[in-house]
Amino acid sequence: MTPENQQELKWIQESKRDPEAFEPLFNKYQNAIFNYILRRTCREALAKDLTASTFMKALNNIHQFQWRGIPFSAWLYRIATNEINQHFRKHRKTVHLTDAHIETIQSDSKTDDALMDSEARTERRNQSRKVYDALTRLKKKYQDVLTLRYYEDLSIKEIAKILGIPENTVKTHTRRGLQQLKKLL
Amino acid sequence: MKKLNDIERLLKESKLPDWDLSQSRHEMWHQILKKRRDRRRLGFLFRIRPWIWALMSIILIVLCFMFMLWVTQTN
Repeated sequence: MTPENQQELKWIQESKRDPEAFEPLFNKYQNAIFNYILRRTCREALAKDLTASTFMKALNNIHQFQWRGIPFSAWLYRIATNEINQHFRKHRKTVHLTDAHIETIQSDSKTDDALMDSEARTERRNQSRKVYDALTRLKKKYQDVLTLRYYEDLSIKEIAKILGIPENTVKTHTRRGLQQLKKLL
Repeated sequence: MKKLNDIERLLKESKLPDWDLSQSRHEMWHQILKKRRDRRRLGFLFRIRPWIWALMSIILIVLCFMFMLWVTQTN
């Protein structure tokens, strides 16, 4: 176990006794979880709500977390993925990425996009919108895998731990998801 | 005809940039703590499953209906 993991384990054990001891874990993963949810939902306010409910569930169920080689971050991503999918089950309306959404997300981010000329920026926005719209038309299991792989830059092994499925299934879902995207783009 | 590698590249390029939420981190953390405290105050109500609430509502409606029938019959 690395020193970083040992520190995390210490925070987890302390959180089981005192909820306020969860704060360092929250500070460490809040941005990553928020950005994951934001990329899936493209709604700032919704992403903030789902981020808060993700950490709320993590804190309420911290006593259930056992260190079995699955990182704490994987557990958080799993909760976040379930929150996203639950939200989309309740609100079946398909989300379309609009210029307003891209503007909102890009205006507050430190990104090279702000330095692009307007034509390049427009091209990039059109591409993002097209890819995102196609992604939202895939089955949820393919969306989960593709966003974790290409937007969160996680490995096959990490995705398998997050989703609780075998690594071969992750590879299959990735391949099939890409094939379906190819047909839509 | 696009290849899978092209699709992978398109996906990576379409990734929206990261947003830094650290400014509202403190506020969100305190909201979470507050919700948790409120939830504990109303404790058992949150632990009751939705289907139990539904069943209790149905039983209540049936009891009210039976009471109404009894009242109309005695009158």
